Amino acid sequence: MKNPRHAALLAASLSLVLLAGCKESPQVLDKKAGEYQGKVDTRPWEGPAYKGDKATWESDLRARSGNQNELRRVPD
Amino acid sequence: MARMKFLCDTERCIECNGCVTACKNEHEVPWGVQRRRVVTINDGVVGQEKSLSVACMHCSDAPCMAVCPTDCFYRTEEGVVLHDKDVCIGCGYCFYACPFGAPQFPQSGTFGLRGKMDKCTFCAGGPEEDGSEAEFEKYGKNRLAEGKLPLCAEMCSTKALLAGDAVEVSNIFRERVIRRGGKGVEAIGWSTAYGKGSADADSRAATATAPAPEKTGGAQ
Repeated sequence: MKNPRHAALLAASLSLVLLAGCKESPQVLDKKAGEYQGKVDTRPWEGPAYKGDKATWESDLRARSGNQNELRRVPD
Repeated sequence: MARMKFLCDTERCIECNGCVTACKNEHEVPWGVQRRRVVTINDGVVGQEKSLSVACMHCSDAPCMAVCPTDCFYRTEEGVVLHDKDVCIGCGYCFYACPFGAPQFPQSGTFGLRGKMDKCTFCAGGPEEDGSEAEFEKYGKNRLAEGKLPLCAEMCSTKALLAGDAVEVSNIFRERVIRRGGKGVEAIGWSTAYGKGSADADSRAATATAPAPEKTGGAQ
């Protein structure tokens, strides 16, 4: 390389490129042992079907649970 | 409402595999993964052969939750044990810990690469937006958010498999046992899953409004 300015520029940019990989970023998640680490979940009655109406959701589920009892559905 | 439980009445199960098929179809579970299966106990022993539909029982004191090295499990307020697949590393510890063999691992590729754990969700989806495509892809359909019970139980032709509120399920089973003069021992797996008391006290809720409490401790 004839131009010393070009050589210096090249050396400077090369060193920058090489140093770019030197930053040490944390590789481990901030984990607390014994605590759930995943995303939060919504409650079933908070979805679009019930829009937060827990009482209706509970009564609907209770009715469906009761429907599994054919002894009550079919009269004696 | 109390907490959600499964109960399989072995006196009624006819090994039709309707529950298995319903689950597979509803959640589009891939090949090699069986969230629910029917097992036979005392196979070939005359008079003692029983069939039993088994999946994750959503235990009160879930061993999978205790052994998970990445703590990807949580218990909802309804007592359903779920996990976040984005946190699961597919190590397989939960499989060895589970007394029911519920955790399943999809395998793919030439070397049978093990994927993230998959199991019964009590048709409650997972930690994604309710009813979203992402939830369906990862965890299957969220029937609980639609006010429905798990399809395996609702499809059961003999109503051997019961699901739902623990009080309701227990009442149904008690009425049956009294009628047929049984002893109540037909509900195989019930005491293994729920025998150590209620988990209501330590509901490890991962909800939008409540921060996730401690995993260990509390009444089991």
